[in-house]
Amino acid sequence: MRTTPKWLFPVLALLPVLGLYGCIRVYPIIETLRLSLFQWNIISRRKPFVGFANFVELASDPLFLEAIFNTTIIAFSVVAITIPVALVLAALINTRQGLRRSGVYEASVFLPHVVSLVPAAMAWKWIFDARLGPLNALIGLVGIPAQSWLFDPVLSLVCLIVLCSWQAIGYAVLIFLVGLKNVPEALYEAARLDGASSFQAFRHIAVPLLKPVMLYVSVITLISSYNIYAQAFVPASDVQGAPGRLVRVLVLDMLENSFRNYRVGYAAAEAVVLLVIVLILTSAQFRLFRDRSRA
Amino acid sequence: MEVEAARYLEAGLIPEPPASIVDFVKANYDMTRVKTAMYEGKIFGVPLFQGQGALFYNTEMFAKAGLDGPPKTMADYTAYAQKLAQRDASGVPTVSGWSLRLSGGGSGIAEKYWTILYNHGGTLLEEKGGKWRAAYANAAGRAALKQYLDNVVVYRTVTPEMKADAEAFELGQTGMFIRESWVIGDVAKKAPNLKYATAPLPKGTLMVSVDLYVPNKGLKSQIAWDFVQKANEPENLLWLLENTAWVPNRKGLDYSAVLKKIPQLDAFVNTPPGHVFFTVPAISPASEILTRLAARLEKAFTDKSLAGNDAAIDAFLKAAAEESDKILAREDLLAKP
Amino acid sequence: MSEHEREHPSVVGQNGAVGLVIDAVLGVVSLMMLLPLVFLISNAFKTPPELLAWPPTVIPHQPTLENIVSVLRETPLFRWIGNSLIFATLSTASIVSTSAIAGYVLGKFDLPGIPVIFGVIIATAVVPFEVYMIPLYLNVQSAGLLNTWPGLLVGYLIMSFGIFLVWQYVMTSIPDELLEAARVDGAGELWIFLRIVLPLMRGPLGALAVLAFFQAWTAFAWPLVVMTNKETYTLEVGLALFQTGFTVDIGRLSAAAALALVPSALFFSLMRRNFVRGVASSGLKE
Repeated sequence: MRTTPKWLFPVLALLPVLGLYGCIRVYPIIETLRLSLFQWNIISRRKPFVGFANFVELASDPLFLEAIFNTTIIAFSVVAITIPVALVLAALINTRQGLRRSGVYEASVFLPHVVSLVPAAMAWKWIFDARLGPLNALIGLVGIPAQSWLFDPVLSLVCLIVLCSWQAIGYAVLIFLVGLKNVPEALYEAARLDGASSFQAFRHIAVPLLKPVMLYVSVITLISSYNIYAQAFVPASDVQGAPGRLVRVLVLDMLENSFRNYRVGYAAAEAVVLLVIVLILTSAQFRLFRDRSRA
Repeated sequence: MEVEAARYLEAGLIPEPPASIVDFVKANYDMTRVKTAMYEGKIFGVPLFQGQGALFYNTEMFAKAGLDGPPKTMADYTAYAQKLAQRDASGVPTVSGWSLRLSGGGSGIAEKYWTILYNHGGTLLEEKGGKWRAAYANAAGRAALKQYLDNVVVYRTVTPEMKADAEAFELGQTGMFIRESWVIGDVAKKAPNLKYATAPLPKGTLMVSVDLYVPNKGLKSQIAWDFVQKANEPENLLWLLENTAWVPNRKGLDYSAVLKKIPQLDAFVNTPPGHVFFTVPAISPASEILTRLAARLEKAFTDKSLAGNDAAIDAFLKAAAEESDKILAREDLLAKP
Repeated sequence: MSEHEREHPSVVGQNGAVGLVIDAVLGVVSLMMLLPLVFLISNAFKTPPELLAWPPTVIPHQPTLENIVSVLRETPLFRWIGNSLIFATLSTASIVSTSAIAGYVLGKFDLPGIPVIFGVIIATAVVPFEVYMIPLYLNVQSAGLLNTWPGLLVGYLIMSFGIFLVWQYVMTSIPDELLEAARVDGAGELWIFLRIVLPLMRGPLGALAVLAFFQAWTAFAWPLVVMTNKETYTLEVGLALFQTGFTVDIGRLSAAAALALVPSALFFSLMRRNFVRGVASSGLKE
C-alpha cells in the first residue's frame, strides 16, 4: 500500500471545477470589467479606450442614480420581508412534516418561484389595479381609500417589493426547511424535558442553529434582489400604453444602455458599480452573522 | 428599422445588393422614401412598409358629444377631449377624452410627444450640415407640453391610471387616440362591433420605415433577394395591407378593393397633399435621446407645478434639450446653432 | 387527519387546537401565494373578448379550450418542454456534482489559497449573468457552439451559490472526527467522499437540485441568444413568442404557461419527496 500525499485528492478534485470556473465565470467577468474602460457599440470596429470617463459620466447620470436608489430600497425591503416570513412559514410547515398536507403547503409556496413571469405579472397587474383591482376592494373594506398602486412613485415600489417577495419566499422556505430538518431531535427532546414550550424550543434551539442558513438565505436574497429587472420591466412594459410607472432598477438600466443605446462600455461600468456595492453588502452580512453567532 | 440598420451599415456588415435590385428599387419607389434604405448615397435595402400615425376616433361617442367630424387643429383636440370625457359623480374621468401616451414603452412617450410637437409647428431634432441638435426648447415645445398638462392636470380629461391606447379604444374607454394602422387589425379581432373612423393629423406624422436587407453575400443571398422581391409583389403587399394594416411603399398599387372592405385605411394610404412624414434620424444615439427624454416627460406630464407656469415649462425643456445635446456632442454629432 | 406519524418531538399539536390554527394559517398563506396563479389558469380558458372584459372574471363565463388547443396545434410546446427538461436536467447534474466536490474540499481541506479561491467565488457570485453574458456569448460564438447543447449549457454548468451552500453545510454539519475516524481505519479520500460525505449531504444536495433545475427551467436571456432556431427553443423562450411587436396574446400565453406549470409542479413534488426522505434518513444522530 503506497500512501498518496495528503494534498492529492483535494487538488485533483478541485482542479476541474476551478478550470470550468475560470473559463465560464471569471474570464467573462474580467472581460466585462475591462470593457468598462472603453467606448464600444457591440458591432463597431472602433473601440476607443476612454479610461474612467464612463464612471465620471455615471456619477451625474440621473437615471443611473435613480436606479441605484430604487434597487437598494427594493433589495433591503425584500430581504426584510422574506427572511422572517420564510422562517415562520418554514417552522410552521416543519411542524406538519410527515403529513400529506405539508407537501401541498410547500408546493404552493414554491410554485411562484418557478412560474413564467410574464403571465404571472399580468395577474399582479390586475390585483393592483387602481380602479377595480381586488386589493383596493380589500382595503376599502377597512375604510382606506383606493390607491393608484402602479402609478404612485412610492406605491409602485411597494408593488414591486411585494412581487419580488412573492417570488423569493418559496426559495427561502425551501432552504430553511432543509436547515430545520437537520436540527437533531434529541435537542428538542432535551428542551421538552426541561419544560420549554415548543416556541421556546424553536427560539432557543432551532434559530441559533439556523444562523449559517440564515446567512446563506439573506446573502442570496439580497444579491438576487439587486439583480432584478424582469420584475420591474414586465408590469410596466406594455406597448398598449400605460399599465404603470416604470420603476427603474440597475440591471434594467444596464440592459437599456447596452442593448437599446448600444453603449456596452458604459453598461459595463454600471456592472462594476453594482459589483462593488454588492460585495460590500455581502461582506457586511458575513460579519454581522459571524458576530451574532459569537455573541 | 432604419435606425438600427444604420449601425450595421456603418460597421460595414451589410453588402450592396445586386444591380437588378437597385434598378427595381429606383423604378418602383418614391426616392424620398428610399432615403431610409440608403447609406453614403448608395441603395442598400428595399422599402417594404411604413408605420405612421393617424387619429382613431369613436364615431358613436363623437355623435353623443355633438361632434360631427374629427378635430382639425391642435386646439380642437383639447376642446374635443373635454367634450368627450365622461366622469363619475366625484368628477374622476371614467372614459378619457383623448388617450395620450403618459407612461410605459421606453422611448414611445417621446415619439408620441414628437408627433404632437410637430403638429404645433416644431420638431424634436433638427439637422444642420449632417449634424443634429435638440430643437424643442422653444414656443412649439412649450405648446406641446402645455397640451399634455392641460389634458392631464388642468381639465383632467385623462389620467395615467386609466386604460390607454388600443386597449382603451376597444373597450370604449376613450374617445380618440393617435396610433399606427395596426390598430385596425387589432380592433377587428378584439372588438369587431366598434364603430370608429380614422383621420390624418393636422400637419404630419412620425413615420417608421421597415426596409429589407440581406446581411451577407453568397449562394443563399440570391434566394434572400428573390424573397425580398416576392414580398414586394403587388398582390403580396395588398395582402399585407388587408391582413396586418401596415401601409406598403411601392408606387402604383390599386387600393380600391381593400379600401372598400376596410374604409378606415383611407387616412393611412391617401394622406392629403402637404401632409408630411418625418422620421427619427438614422444616428446611433437617437434611441438614447428619446429614452432619456421620455423618462423626463413621464414625470412632467403629471407635475402640477408646471401647469400654467410658462417659466417652469421653459426651464424643464431647456434642461432636457441640454441633455439631448450632450449625448449628441458625446458622439460628435452636435450641430452648431 | 387519518395518517399518524411517529410523534416527532419537533412536531407541535399534531391534532390539537394549535394544529388547527397552524393549518388555518398555512392554508390561508398557500391560497394567497396561489391566487395569481389561479387567475393565470383561469385566463387560459377565456375567449379574447372576455380577456378584455373589465372587471376580470375569476371563473370564466364561457370557458373555452380554444387557447389550449391552438397552443398545442400551432406551437411545438411539448418539444419546448422537452428541450427545457433536457437542459435543466443536464445543468442540474453538472451543478450538483461540481458544487458537492468543490464545497466539500473548500470546507474540509486546508490548502494554501483556499481563502482566495473562496473570495473569488463569492465575488463572482454577485455579478448578474446578464452582465457578463456578452463576452461569454462571443466566446461561444467563436467556438462555433451556437445552437448546440454544449453552447447552451456553458452558461449553466456551475453555480457559485451551490458551492457556497454545500460549503456552509459541510462546515456546520459534518464533524471532522467522523472523517478522521475513517482515515484512521485506512479509508481512501475518494471512498470517504463517496461513501460517507455524499450520503450525509443528501438533504442540501436535494434542495440544490431543485434550485438548479428551476434556475435552468426559468432561464430566459441566455437560451434566447444561443438557441435561435424554433425547434431548439426552451419553454421560456417559446413563451415569449406570444408577444408580437404590438400586442400580447394573453389567452394563449396563459394557456402555455398553465400547461408548463404541470411539469414544474410534478418535478418539484418528485424531488421534494426524494430529498425529504434523504434528510430524514441521514439526520445526524449523535
